[in-house]
Amino acid sequence: MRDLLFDNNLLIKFQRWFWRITFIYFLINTLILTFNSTLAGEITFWGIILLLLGTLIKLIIFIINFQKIKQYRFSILSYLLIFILASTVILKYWIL
Amino acid sequence: MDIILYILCGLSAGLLAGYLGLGGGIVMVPYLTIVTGLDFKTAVPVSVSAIMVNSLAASNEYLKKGMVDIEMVVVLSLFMVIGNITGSNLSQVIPSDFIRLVFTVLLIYTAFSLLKDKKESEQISFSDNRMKMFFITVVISFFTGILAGLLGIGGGVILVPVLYLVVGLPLTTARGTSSLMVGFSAAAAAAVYFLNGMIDYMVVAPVITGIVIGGKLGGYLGTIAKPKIVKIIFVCVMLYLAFKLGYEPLMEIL
Repeated sequence: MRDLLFDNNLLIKFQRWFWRITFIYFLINTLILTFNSTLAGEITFWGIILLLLGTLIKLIIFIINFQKIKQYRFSILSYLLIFILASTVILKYWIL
Repeated sequence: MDIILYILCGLSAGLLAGYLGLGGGIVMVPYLTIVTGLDFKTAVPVSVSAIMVNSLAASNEYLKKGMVDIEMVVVLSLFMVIGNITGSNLSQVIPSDFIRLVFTVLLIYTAFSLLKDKKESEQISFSDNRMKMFFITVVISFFTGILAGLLGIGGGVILVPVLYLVVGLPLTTARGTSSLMVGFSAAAAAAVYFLNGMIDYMVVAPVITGIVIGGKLGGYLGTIAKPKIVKIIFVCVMLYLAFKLGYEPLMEIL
């Protein structure tokens, strides 16, 4: 029943647009790769960051939706997931 | 020439992965290693980066048709990501031949389990056995994450049969749920590889271009295909992977 209340539309919309942006981004990047590999490498670097940010936005959409339907347990779990993913960066740059 | 090969690699992996609800790593890693001659340690980070994108394309098709259990995605992803980080660290101390053999056994077992026809009455409902299934889910997702971290795959190859056979989700929902989950799992692995400077930027772009197209097509095909056909293809892929993974270490032991 709760699954029916979870609004998938925002997630679908975001994923659709993000997929389009990613596709165009990496398609152009592949074309650039044929004549300037250094520039293409730099563009890919930022592309990976873009993908990781996309994952973060997806989780924020989860949180928004779970809070909307008052499923706070799953909202907290989504926060926890963000924290665990972010911890890889924190561990790399601030602790290790 | 290499660029075309990389695009084709992404295309074929995306098509199969989207269709079966897998991450694509099981196709991509052997393809990149065998066909393009990339080193295994280079193929794995490329694979996880591409899996992140493929998850977007494939899961959207399932989301549109309501074939994704979002709550399950959050719970499983949480423990899978923890397992993934653990697995990535464990890969430095556990001999890879041992890991490959363990995974081979697991794949063969799962493939044969899938071949058996499962009666509806045998399926366990997640909502009816919430506590019991919660613990099973936690343990399975954690170990799936460890294996995914060790082998550089999304984890869908293990998740789909587990969601179908253990949790009792319909096969299409299991594939949909898995296709969204592997995105989070791959993101954790990609972040680690990215921070350690292990991603080959020259390979990633063409592979992603291919996988985006393939994943979109595969995700659509998966929603309209007959479950029996999907099951047979899935079993074939698993047995192929089992052979690829197990042959070399087994020959070394023998």
